[in-house]
Amino acid sequence: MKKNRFYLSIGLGLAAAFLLGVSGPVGAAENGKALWGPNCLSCHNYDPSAKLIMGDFQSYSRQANLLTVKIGPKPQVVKVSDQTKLENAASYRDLTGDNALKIAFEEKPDGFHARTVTVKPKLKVPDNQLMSTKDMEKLVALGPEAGKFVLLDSRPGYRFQEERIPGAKNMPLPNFDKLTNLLPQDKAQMVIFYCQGPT
Amino acid sequence: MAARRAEKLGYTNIKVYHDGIPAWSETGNVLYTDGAFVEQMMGFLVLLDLRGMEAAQKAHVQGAVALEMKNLEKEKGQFPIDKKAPIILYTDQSDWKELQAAVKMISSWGYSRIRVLEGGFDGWLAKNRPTQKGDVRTTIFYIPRPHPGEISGDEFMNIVKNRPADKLILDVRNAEEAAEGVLEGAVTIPLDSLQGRLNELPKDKEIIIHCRTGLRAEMGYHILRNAGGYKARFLNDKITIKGKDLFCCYK
Repeated sequence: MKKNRFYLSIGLGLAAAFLLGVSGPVGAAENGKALWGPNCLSCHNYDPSAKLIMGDFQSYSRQANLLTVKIGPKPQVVKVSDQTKLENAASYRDLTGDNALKIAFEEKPDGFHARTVTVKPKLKVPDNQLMSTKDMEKLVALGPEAGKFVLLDSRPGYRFQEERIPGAKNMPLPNFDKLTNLLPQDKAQMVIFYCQGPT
Repeated sequence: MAARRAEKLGYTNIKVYHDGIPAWSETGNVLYTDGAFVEQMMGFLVLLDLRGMEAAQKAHVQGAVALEMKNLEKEKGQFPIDKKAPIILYTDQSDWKELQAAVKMISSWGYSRIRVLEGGFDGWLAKNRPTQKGDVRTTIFYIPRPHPGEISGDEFMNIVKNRPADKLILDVRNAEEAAEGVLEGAVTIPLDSLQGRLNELPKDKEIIIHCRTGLRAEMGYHILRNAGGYKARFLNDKITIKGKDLFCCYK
């Protein structure tokens, strides 16, 4: 069963730099904002001068050279060709639903043609903040109270409902500022964030 | 990123479990799921009641299959072929530590979507979610949730045989594939030229799209949906056409 998923990734600073790296103005697509997924918009400001699709990989057909990108719940089909530049991945076949894509495209009568497909790169976390699965197992076994930590899941609510690490609370990144009550009173207490993975 | 925002608020002991959910579940650790999710997916997941036969017969989550925890290993053979099938385990309270061994075992068989119903059967009852009494199933039965726009294999075969006037079969495979055989009455438009040839398709008939595996047919469905005005569904299954022979529908 294929799943329709989109994920938040962590790391705003790098992501912003990543967006700014895109080519200059290309005239706004008529409903350009509809081509940016809501999760992408939680970190990136919509830029009407950039002709971009921002969403999550759904499927790729080698026979037809087409990609399906999920923009929020809506699938959009985009053509790729030998001229399309693929960045941060060796092949379209390596992509999974965990990959967020940014696609610079041209609109032609026979559909959207991708000029560049950029896979969102793995974001950096300082070494001293990284938790291993082994460390997590120990802490989760203790539980938040005995382990003196707060465990926060940054993914959207529907993903949290589907699956979560025991003891976690949901703090979707787009609502971070509204949910700061989930953070501990004591600012020295351990706060652990996680999401779908490092993509 | 959440960690940077918390830093700005003055938190000094911030950690990031960067590998996240995939790494956590890969090693057979327990993930909880919410009753709301289970209720929404009902009928399309494997729901295992591990409280023992007696308790399950009194009442169980609607659609659950009762298995004895101690017999779990012997039941391996009846787990679905699809390793991505969502598998939900529960006991009375579903304390994850009590279910850790079961999750690890099923995970070692290759299943990647095992979850434990948070709150267990008691939590399910407390929320007034659907239950059944009396006879409880003891054999696993799994069908994946159909994608939006998916047509069943049976209905597809009926359309192929009877060719009703209000339906049109659209074959989106490429020319080489179509050269080996095409369904009678089907229109062939390779998927990569579909967007440019939409005007060849009627809006007053339901368009039934197929390819060879379902992948391109689904893309074709999205192209028609996004274009607007077309009625369409697609076959999400394998189909092989050799001359007049048709091999179809494995789901």
